[in-house]
Amino acid sequence: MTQPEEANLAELFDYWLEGKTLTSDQLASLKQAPLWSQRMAVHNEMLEMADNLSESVDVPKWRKDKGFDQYLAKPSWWQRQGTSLVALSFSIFACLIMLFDVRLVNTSNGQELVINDQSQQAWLEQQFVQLAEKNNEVINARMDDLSLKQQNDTAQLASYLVANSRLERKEDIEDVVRVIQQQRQDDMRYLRQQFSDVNYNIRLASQQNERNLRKSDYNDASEQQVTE
Amino acid sequence: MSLFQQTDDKLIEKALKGNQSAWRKLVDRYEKNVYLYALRMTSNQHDAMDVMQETFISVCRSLSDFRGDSSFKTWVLKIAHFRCIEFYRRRKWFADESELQHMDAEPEHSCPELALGNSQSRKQLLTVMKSLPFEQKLIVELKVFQSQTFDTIGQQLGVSTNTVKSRFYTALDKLKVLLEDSYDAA
Repeated sequence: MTQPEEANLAELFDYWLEGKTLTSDQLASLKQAPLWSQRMAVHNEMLEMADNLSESVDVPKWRKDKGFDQYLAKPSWWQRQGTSLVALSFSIFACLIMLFDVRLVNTSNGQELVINDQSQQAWLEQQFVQLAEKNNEVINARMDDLSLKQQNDTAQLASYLVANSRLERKEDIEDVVRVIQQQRQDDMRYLRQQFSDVNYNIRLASQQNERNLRKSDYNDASEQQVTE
Repeated sequence: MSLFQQTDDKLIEKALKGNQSAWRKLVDRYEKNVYLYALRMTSNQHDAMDVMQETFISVCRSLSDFRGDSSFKTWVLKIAHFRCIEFYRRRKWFADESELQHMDAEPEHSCPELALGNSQSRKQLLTVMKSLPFEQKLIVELKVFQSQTFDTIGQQLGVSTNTVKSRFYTALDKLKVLLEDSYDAA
């Protein structure tokens, strides 16, 4: 087969592959050329096998939403980017309020938004100082009261101790006096007894003597009488 | 496509608005084309599934870039083509002929379709496709099964039309031998 014929057959084969309509002569010339007819047969065989494959194969189960969830699914309103931006803005706003001490202050003209309010700070400091002074006064008063109470208690305790010791001493002296008086009474009773005994003895002796005298008188008389 | 079936453009528009049902309809419509393409290119069910899933993830990611210059099916298959090339690059089967030879020598069970299939033609198709070098396999796929012109294939692969033709004719001649061998073996 010459080179032009070969090129012509290749061109016809390309047309045939692309589904273009060939004349019966062109188709016959292709089929008569062994190389090209074999290529046509192989092509047809491959297509037939592909059809069979397509009919006999089913796609296995798989997760079809795999990419959808990642790239196409629209997030809920709280997951949208705007929401996070708003949240971030509010956070920054809150930080700024804290940082610059922004306050809503009641004034005679109504409510005012004040940034870093010095008067409020001064008022607060004054309140703190007054509170501290009042606190000190209360503490001092309490300390004075406590001190006075302690003094009174001490004096009371001292007087009680003194009084108590005086009473004890008085009672001791009274006891001593009572003991001495008792002892004196006992001595007196003893002396009285002694005197009584002596008196009795004296009286007894005097009576004895009187009796003896009388007796001697009698004896004398008797003797006198006798003599007489 | 039936009269009441929504067009691809309508489904794409809905899917871009977050309509999951529209996305599923698109997937249902083209998953078999992609799966069969991947199966013919990889000759392995698991690899085909991987390629198909990666393809649809890429489609999802790039759906907003679809301008309708070609049909949605062509666009999806083009993405599948790139994912398939990536797959072969990852496996280093792309340029290494020795590994391709090694792949040819893999046992039958490496291809569940071959192991489990009872269809002789299906078995033959996957066997002969597996035996082709990657570049020839790709051109056969694009020319025979996707019916693309030689010019389009040349542009897609970045080679001249004559190179595409030459590789295609070589692939057909090789397929003839392979088919004859497989018929003899059967």
